Amino acid sequence: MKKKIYKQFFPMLFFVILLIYSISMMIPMLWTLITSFKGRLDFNLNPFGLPSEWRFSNYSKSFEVFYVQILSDDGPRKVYMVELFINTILYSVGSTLVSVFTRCISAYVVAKYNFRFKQVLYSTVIITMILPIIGSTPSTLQLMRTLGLYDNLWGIIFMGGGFTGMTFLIFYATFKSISWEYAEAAFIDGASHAKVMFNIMIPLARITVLVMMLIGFIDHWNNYTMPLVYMPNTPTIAYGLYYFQFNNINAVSGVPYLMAACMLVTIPIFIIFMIFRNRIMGNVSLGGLKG
Amino acid sequence: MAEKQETSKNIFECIFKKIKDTFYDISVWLYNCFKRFRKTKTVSAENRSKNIFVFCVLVYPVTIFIIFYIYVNFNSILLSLKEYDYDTGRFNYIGFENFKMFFYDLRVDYMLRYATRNSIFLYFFGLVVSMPLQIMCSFFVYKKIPLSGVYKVILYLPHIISAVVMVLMFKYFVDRGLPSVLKSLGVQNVPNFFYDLNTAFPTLIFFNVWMGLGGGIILYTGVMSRIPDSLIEYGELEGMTMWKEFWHITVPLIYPTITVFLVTGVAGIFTNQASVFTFYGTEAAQYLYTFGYFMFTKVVSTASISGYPYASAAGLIFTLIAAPITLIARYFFEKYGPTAEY
Repeated sequence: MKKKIYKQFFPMLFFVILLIYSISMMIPMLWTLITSFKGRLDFNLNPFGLPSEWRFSNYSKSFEVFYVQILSDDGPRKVYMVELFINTILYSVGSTLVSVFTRCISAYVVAKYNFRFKQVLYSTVIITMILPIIGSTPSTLQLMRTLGLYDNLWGIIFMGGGFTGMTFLIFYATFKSISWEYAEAAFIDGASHAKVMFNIMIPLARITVLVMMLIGFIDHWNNYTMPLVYMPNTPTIAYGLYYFQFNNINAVSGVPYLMAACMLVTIPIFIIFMIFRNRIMGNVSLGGLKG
Repeated sequence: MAEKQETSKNIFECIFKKIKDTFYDISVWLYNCFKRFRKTKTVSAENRSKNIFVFCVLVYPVTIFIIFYIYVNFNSILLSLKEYDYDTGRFNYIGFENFKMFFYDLRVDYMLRYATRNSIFLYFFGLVVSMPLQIMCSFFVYKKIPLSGVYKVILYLPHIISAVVMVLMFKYFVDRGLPSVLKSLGVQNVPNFFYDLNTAFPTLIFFNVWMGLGGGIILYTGVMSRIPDSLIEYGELEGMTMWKEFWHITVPLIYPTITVFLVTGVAGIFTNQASVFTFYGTEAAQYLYTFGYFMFTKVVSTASISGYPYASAAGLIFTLIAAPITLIARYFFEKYGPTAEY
């Protein structure tokens, strides 16, 4: 009996720890949700409890209240939330498509074809992942300015191509596991290399492509440092949130509006995550580089 | 009349047929002429089309890599030897002045002293507190304690919610929501968690541990779930306790993942800004500085072109410290750690 209690003690202890942790994670989120429905005065008098009056208008109001001041060609201009969302969608969709596509096709070629620099490319990916290089941002910025890509949405998307990173390794493993016989059959029927890649091999790897696209989209949607550093005059919504807390918040003293904006940024991502959660979470087990 | 037409038609047909036959003969003759080249030609043509395909696929990604990795890092070295000239808007060579200045600042500048202290402290705190906590929690989530499915979804949230949103939620909750609760519970003198000398840095540490726990658990659980069931079933038949399973099966098998974290953590000392920028913008107090924050503020504002050379020099010094440590640590971890194949 004593042994059994001992056996149950640690699982129970960690069950409690995890329960507390999960609650501590949920409370600020719920608080944010509740606060986003409060009136200004209501929030100042009662920052913790339920709102006395549920103000759904906070959400539509936050579209009018928040803006990011930018320098455009015709002088200073205010960018409101609608435009921020448009920028965000352009930036995240564009960057995701370019970065995932280039890694997908280069991983395919390295995994399935024999050519002279095959091994060099694979080693390059591993080395760039292991070797820490710190502070190359100034140099990149200088180069971007020289090339005219600085502060240019398409420039940032263009820069996102490349073949290094974890995405490459995941695609590489996926294509390695797909049999080459499909391709051989197609070659006999006279298909070209490009046709085999686009019509046979990439559709066979479509789940990996989907998951990588989703993860890439979520990352770009949430990323505020890239827009901040490389395109300060094409702000995205994540950068907007960072900006609001230091610039607009005192002017309107509208914590509830800010919390509403937070919810607006989170909800699309949360919906995508809940739909595809098994796929996205299943992918994590691929983590942990062996090389 | 009709007969005449028919004969003329026949004549034309005859002529066409003659021409057609002649062309056919020529084509047969040509075919026979090139027959001996034909086989080798197909192979080389196929090879060429393959090479063209590979080239077309790789040309864009490799160009980007050469420009934005190799050239950029080379340029970083050059940039660290230069100085910005406000008059001409160009960078001129000045030798090792930036490096000298950085070492001088390291002795004199309070920001950098605090950055050194804070960054190293954060690394060891992560090593001693966060990582064991993450591994232990993952083990029990993996062992399927009650609600572990629900936990997984909740623990995944910090991964998918923007860091800015997490920071804003936490910041305003702790700043505005929490004090009112504490006051109603009868706590006097609720500290100003983010701007008080005594509480600001602990708050920051708490936030980082709190944020990191979820992601860590998800990752380690993922690795643990790859451990073959047969190993554990075999152990259970032998009467293995949970602790023994943890120490003798789980830890050795997730060891490669742990080493990756330990190794990348070394570079993290110099790059991890521990969300300071997201919390405080460019105006963090000196005692909150970390190396990552220091580097980031140097390049972030648009007016700071003149700061690029200095930041490059600092980055180069950090790289020269972090890269050898990382590679040596990796080598030793792989050589002397427990090895397991599964």
